[in-house]
Amino acid sequence: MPQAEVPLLELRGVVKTFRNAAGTPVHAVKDISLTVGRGEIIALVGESGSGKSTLGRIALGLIRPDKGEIRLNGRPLTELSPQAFRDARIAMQPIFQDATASLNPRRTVRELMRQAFGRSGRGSDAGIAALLDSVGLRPGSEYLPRLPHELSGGQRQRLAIARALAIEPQLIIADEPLSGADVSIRGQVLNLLLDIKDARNVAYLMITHDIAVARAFADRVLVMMQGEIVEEGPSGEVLSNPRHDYTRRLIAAVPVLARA
Amino acid sequence: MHEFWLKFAGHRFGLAGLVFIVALIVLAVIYPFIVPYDPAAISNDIMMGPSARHWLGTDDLGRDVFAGMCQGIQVSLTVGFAAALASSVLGILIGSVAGFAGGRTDLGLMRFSEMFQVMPSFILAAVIVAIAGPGLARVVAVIAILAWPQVARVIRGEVLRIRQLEFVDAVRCLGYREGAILFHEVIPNALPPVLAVGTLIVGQAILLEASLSFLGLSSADLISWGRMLNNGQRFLFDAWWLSFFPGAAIFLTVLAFNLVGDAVGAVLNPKGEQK
Amino acid sequence: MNGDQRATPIVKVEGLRISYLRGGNAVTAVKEASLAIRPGEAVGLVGESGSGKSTLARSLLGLNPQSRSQIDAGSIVIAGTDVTRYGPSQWEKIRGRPVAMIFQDPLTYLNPVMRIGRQIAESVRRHDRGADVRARVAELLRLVKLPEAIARAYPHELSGGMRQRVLIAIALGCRPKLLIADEPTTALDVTTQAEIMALLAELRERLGMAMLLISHDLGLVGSACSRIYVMYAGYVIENGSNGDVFIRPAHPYTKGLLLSAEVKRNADGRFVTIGGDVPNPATIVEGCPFRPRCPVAMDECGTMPAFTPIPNRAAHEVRCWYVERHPVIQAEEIHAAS
Repeated sequence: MPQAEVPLLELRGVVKTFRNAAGTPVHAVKDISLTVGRGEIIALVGESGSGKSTLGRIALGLIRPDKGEIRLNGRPLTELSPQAFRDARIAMQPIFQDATASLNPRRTVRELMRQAFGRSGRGSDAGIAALLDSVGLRPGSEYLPRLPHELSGGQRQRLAIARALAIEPQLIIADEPLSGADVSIRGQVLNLLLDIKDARNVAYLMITHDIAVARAFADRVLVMMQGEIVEEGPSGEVLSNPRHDYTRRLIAAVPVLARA
Repeated sequence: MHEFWLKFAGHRFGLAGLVFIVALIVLAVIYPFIVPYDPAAISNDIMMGPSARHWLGTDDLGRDVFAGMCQGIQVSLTVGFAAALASSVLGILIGSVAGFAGGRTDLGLMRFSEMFQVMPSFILAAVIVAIAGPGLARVVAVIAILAWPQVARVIRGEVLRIRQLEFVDAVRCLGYREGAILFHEVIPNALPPVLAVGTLIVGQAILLEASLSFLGLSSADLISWGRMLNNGQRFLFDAWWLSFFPGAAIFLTVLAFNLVGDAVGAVLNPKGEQK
Repeated sequence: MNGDQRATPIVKVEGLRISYLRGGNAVTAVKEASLAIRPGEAVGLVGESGSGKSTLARSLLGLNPQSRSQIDAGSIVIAGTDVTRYGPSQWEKIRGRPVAMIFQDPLTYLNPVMRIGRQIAESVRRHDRGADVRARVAELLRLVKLPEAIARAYPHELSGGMRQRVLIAIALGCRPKLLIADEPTTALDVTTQAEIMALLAELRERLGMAMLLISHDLGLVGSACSRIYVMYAGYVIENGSNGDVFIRPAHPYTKGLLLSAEVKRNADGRFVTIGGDVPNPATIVEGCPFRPRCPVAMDECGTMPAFTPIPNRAAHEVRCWYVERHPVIQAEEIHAAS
């Protein structure tokens, strides 16, 4: 197979079943396959309990699936040694819903970013400040000695994004990155993610419950319900012309302003 | 840190305990300059009651009780802090590994720690020291072995809470090893409640050391409050000061550490703010 | 749905200013807020984090702890009684009636070890002495469309939506004239959210109850309320009918917020947004707090303007110098400037 046709991320027949406190099995992910191409923006839409976050964590290698395969650039992650797995996985970086919880509260911005740059050797103050500048924390050098709780919610989310970018990932898996952000800030975050894509050709797998965000941001939408993908296609098509009943119900439930 | 002290100052009893402990430490350092007696020096002033010359009286060999008590501070605090430090290190290691690894490791380590908790600590300590022989280092070791499960249980709970926070996964995705994540990310965030438990252990250790030396099971070369108490009990009806002052010192010091421990715990517990 | 504009308001707040202590500093969460809710009316209170909307709402039930917060200025009148200076024991007597409240996270407000039926019964007993408690609990469960068997369940056995229904039943046990709903569906899925909002609308209709819906979700407020208050950094900056505020907004912030909420891209593929950051309540801003982010800020904005009524609109007013200087403005104008 020529290199160009290998997808960036590929999940094949992934299954994950948890047991709840009573011991009853909960089928969080039932035999799901999906691919993410280079520079592609995919939205994974669903309600809580649909398994979308579990799927994201499986893709990141944070949860081991019961069955199925995860391939990153064609390499099966599940078959790698622990060290090779850690090295390969850094091509995927997460952005979480709660920026506050995703930053160690005891580390300064400088320490958090140095940790992210890791062994790359680019974690100098100047290098960190340049990256902070690029995510809109300007001037970056002024943020270096600050602790996360000294930043606003929007600034924390930008910091979390900067951290995810430090090791130049090919894919960013963002789990509800906007639900903690104020309405007037959401557009800024989305614009930043678009800028990053334009500059670095990263791909996004955005996990969201927000249909409006999925529609406007993603190239392709996957609708997930009870551990299964029930509908998939280009975002405009799926969300303007839904075929599955569940997708229709999701769209109808969103309260809309009657704008003239 | 500044905020911590600000809040701590609001706990009056904890502050009083801290002042008492600091005063003890100062006294242990400066007493040679204010008491004109060597604590071990024998004199002709035998069994004198408290007076202007001997503030807290003298014992059956004419040794100054106040000088002896000041030297006893060193023993008590050394044992207390060393035992608390040793049990904290042991407890942090075992408890955090148990909480972070989860599953069978957790189950095994916690059952193991419960074995120590159900043992009658004083009798065990007495037996160990009786077999291994007395000595300050052994006393510290025994106390550490008995006290670590308290620390382990507290830190395990904290680690269980912290390990599911998103920053742990974020660092994991940066390619760091599990061991590095535990030591650099999780444990530092889990330490504050250990500080409170550790302070309580200092008090327990002082009490246990006093009990052991009361039975003559601590170091024979050092003057400690427990040994003074042991010595004094023979003269309980003739020279009350030989028992009363060391006993009061033990009581107040243990109380002070408990008050500080409670205040530290209250300050570090965010839910305590609501009150 | 509109309520009688001439009737005596259930709640009337005027020039309210509330500050609280945080780390030894006084932070003014509500700087200047006025609000009136009339019987049967559905009123929306919209704002982002730090806008003071929850502090304002909690003050209507005396829920801001008096040890750490205080009312610096203004007044709160509930059903004709001035409650501004009420102490904890006075609040205790009137809380829940005529004003009751439901919250974002119902689990926090339910006793985990007490059966649902008993928790509802407690609320009934407090407010309806001598009532047939069992019958009333059953009636309340029917009202919120929960099966009677739920009375024997514990909170943790219920879904998020069911818990919120229980909280509504407890609130209704007090027979309130006004129900304050503070982000009641933020923790819920969209389909559950739609069910809860439909239930609230139906209950209002049936019981003739007024509602104050507090949310950051403009779509939710716009689809449920007839009158809207918009808060920003402690100030009510715009209020009027739903049609005026959401369809012909006047304040640059309201306009920007509405455009942001649509999550739409403009011609060059950029998402429409408001620049800058939501202000931190602890920082003191002279004049209009929106000035640093405002596309049409002027020199006058160094002082906070008074309310300006919008000409030819019933009870649509706004606090903005730009609007005062340009009384007839179109949405496009500010849009173009941004």
